[in-house]
Amino acid sequence: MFGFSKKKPKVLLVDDDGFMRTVLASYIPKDVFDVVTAKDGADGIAVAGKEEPSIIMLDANMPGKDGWETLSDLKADKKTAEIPVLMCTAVDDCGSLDRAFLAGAQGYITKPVNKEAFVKKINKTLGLEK
Amino acid sequence: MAENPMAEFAAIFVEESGGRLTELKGAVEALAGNPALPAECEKARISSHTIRGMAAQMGYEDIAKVSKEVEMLFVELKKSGSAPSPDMVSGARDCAAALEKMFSVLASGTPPGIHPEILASRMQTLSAGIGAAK
Repeated sequence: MFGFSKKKPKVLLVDDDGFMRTVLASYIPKDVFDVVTAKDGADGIAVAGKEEPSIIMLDANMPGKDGWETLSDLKADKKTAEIPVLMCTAVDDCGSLDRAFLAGAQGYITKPVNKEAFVKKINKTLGLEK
Repeated sequence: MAENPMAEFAAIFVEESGGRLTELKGAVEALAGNPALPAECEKARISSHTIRGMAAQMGYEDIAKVSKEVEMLFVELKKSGSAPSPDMVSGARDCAAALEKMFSVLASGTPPGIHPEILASRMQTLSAGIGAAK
């Protein structure tokens, strides 16, 4: 084959919950995106530095380094500072939404996650959909 | 991904939630022995939060309702910096036992004798007491 292969945008999913990683990964169309995952905040920072994802979905509530600390560390590192981050929070945790924007997140998604809204949010954040 | 992703998710839910429930029960039992253990309170908060999130994603509303109120109790305790009272430990223990029964019969719904509304209401009352005592 001599065709040019266009590099797909890469989504990094950071969540301590293996169930949510599996569900969210299944929602992302693999013909459009590549998906990588990380099991906690520290792992997320390491994977973000190595994989240079196009966008990061970051769970807010994780043991150890939580989503807020992880976001702060990502924004403080020149290598990852420009990667858009969407925080994933519980639907009734309104206070954390303001906190997400103040900490530098580009947006948020709420749990339980709706598949269509989730994919739309990724597309919109990456400028793939108006 | 399998042809029926919901079946696959349900299987993963059972596996993951079982582990989280074990963590929750372990934390609650540790708190029954010594309530002044913030690390165990944090384990209980995180494990109940995770169970709640998974259950909500799967549409298991009763499990989500009960685990949410356990989580909220430990959120309020964390905010106030206080240790759980014996009533709170007892409530969390009863919720954990109810969750275990609900997990065992996921396919057939909430088992007889389990009353998620009553459990949730009891935990809400206990949580409200933490705020009032501040």
